Amino acid sequence: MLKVKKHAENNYGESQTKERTLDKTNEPEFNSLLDLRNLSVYYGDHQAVKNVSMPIEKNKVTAFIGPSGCGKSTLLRTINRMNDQIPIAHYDGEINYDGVNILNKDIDVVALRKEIGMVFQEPNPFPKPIRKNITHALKFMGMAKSNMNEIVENSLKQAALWDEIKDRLGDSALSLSGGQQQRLCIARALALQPNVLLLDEPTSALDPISSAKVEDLVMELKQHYTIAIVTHNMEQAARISDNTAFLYNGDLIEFGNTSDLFTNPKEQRTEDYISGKFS
Amino acid sequence: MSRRIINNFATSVFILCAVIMTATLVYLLGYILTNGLSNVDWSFLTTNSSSAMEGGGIKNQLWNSFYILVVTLILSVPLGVLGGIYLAEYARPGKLTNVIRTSVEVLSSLPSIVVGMFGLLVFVQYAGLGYSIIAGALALTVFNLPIIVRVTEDSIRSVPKKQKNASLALGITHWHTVKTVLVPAAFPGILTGILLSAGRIFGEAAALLFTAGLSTNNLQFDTWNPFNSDSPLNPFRSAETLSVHIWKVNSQGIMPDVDEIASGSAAVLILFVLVFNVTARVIGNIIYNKITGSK
Repeated sequence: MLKVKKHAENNYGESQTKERTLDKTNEPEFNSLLDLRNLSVYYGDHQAVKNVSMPIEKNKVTAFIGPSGCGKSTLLRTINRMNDQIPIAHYDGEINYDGVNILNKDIDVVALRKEIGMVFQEPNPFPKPIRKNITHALKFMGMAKSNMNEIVENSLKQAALWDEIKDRLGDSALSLSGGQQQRLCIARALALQPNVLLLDEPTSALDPISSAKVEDLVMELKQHYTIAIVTHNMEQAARISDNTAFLYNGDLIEFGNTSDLFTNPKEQRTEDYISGKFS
Repeated sequence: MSRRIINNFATSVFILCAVIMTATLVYLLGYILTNGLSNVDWSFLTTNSSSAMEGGGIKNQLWNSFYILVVTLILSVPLGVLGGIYLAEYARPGKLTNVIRTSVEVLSSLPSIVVGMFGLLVFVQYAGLGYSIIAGALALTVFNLPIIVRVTEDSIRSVPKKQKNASLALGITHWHTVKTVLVPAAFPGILTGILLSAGRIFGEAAALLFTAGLSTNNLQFDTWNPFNSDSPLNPFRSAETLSVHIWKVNSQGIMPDVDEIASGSAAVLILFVLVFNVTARVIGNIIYNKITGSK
């Protein structure tokens, strides 16, 4: 929290506290770590996310579903400010993270991204040895070399990869299978001990067996981490998530408990989408 | 039927073009090497050139070529690589960036004789450097800089975007990402570009005629004090390079073995350029494998 909080307090004073204005859900019992409030994301004139308000609950898996181009990946990439990469992207509204608006311009995005890790659609290990993939960020943070071995081992164990690769940490990460690469990317994010893990269609480039391993891993990890996952695969959302948000054309159509949303959708469009009438 | 004929015709055209291209190259190389190599021996490489007598060598010219090459690379590589990184990573799309990029392109298409005249005017006369190695190296830098900028920018841009995203998403700053992810991945490409451009510098004559000069002092290869006018290391002495020597011998030479000296020098020049190109690829591959941990 450190730096992120300090910057925001300088800017807003301590008066800004968490208040719940969740128009679509209005359920105060959400134990949210992240609150999206009237969030809009624009690429130039195009509005990719329209006035979305919803919570992302602590130590739960929140799934974002919806057809291609509905804004779910954009929304996810906004949470750790990866959209800052795109010069024409800009935001409206707020994302509250522990009482701090992380869309604030003064937020230290580097510190933010250490707390809110991200795993991408396509496995993207660095073309370096496996071990260096994990120590890359640790070195940047100035961690002593003596601590690194332990963290490498722990994070690989957490990502359920240790037993498969413990004897070849010096090999190129590119020699791993796609599924192993993706779990390495998860391990790499975990090594920074983030609070939140954002997964952007993490299994869409993987075969079914590797996908199942990543899914198991996600279920395992939610005990310690808050997870937001974008997926095209509705079975996957139903299997692994606790809450689900359905987006369509940038609008949040429906948000709620996953089993409720899938068995008893309130909106016609949600029902049409989960029953496969359009995609 | 006609589709098949057209297809076969197109294939033959491509093959024909490739054959013409390769044949020209092989003929040129073969001609230069067969004519030249018979005149090249150890004493040819280690004897001073003579202006009127038979049996002159190319010792000083060969040294000058290498020395100018090194000085040019020292001047142009840091500037060019940093400029390329700037264009690839930091320059925001806009008018200023377009102006910079257009300037680089114009600079890279300047005829080398024009660069030579520019060097004569600015470095030799205006800056008062005289005909010297440093003036020659500066002119060659003008000539070489755009190539290195271009190669660096292209190599950095061709690193997959997902690598950069991976690093940024781990909470790593832009600069550290450039330093530890983008530049290492782009390194083989940058190095290849630098070594290929080294081949061009090594063979350049026109830009040096008016900047590094047509004559060389009687170099003493035991005087390494760079301020001594006969020292090989003195950057302020005039220096005739190998390719300038070829031009001069051919156009003004009065010694009886003009042809032998010219073709021998040409063969040496071509051999070194070949060595640069081959080294570029070999070293590039070795370093890439070392960085990535693949075998």
